[in-house]
Amino acid sequence: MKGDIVPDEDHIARYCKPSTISEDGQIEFGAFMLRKVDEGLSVDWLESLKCSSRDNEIIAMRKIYPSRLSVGAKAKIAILKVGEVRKKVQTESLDKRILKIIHEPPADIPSDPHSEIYNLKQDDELIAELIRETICETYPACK
Amino acid sequence: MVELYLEKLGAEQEASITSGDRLVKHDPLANEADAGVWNFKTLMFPRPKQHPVVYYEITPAVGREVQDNLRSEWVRSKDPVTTDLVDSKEEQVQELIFRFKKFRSIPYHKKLADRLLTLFTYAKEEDPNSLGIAAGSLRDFYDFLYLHDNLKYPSITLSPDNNILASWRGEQNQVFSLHFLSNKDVRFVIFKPIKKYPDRKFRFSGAATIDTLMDEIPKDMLDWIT
Repeated sequence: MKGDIVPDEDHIARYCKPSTISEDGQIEFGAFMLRKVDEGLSVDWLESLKCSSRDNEIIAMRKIYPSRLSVGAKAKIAILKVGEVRKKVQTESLDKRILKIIHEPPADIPSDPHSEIYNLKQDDELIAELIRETICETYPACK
Repeated sequence: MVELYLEKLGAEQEASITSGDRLVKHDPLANEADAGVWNFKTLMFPRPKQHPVVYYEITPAVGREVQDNLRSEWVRSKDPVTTDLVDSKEEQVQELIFRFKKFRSIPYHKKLADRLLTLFTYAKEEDPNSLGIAAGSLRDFYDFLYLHDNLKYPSITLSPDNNILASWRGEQNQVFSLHFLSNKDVRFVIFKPIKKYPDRKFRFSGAATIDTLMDEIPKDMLDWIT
């Protein structure tokens, strides 16, 4: 539900556009930086999809993305475990930052998995690098 | 002295200031660091000379009055800077990318140019209204590589605001990442393993200018990126 805190044991997916992917296919830290207009970093709560497997979660996300944005052919999906992201950032950031991942579905689609990572700042390159280090799986955003 | 900018129809690129009956050559952009050839002192990337031809002639009258002496073929010019900026920002980015291709002092200049062009294309696909890559950031990236042409080829991507991000990643999980913000500002992140505690690392981040950054970082922190 909207406003729920995403549990540490659950996973989030981050859409990484092609301009954030290196030539050798690695997701770079820019994928985890805020735009000037953003308050939070958009992600999706995978367990909220209630799919039976990771593969089905990815299939579901691939269906959802085109309704929100223009999916680049080279775009990727980064999977992160919430607890690892929060622990890594809190432990290794210079200011012991505590991130919050909150479920933020659109008002008309309460089942939408959209969530936000809060407590990031603009030009938070170090924290973006730390988050990058917690990527556990990647998938193409297009099949 | 009053300066008048007049555009000569079909003329070559020159501007002149006159004092009395003497013509003095004047380039409106000459005092800008990025006009003309590469300026080593200011380390500014040269902009293409696209301002219009300007010839003018002023015949000072008595005292402080200045009397224009217009040639019949001159027309009064519109503001060259605004026109250039409006019409050619995207072209400027593309020309900057093209200059990387000619950047022979680094061995991977062609690969670099191709990568920048790819990123430009991606950025335009993601947002057709954007300029693709932030020109100031791209210019600073060029200046930085010009100063440090012995660096290994980095991973080059874009920030959410289309600034250049460059990363070098070592085999021992070292990281050196740069975010070129334009106006010579650059933010950096350095990760380096601590030999005594292999599962832990030094973590540095901060801001500097492109022409001072590498002077401030201890050489042994980054000897792996050359």
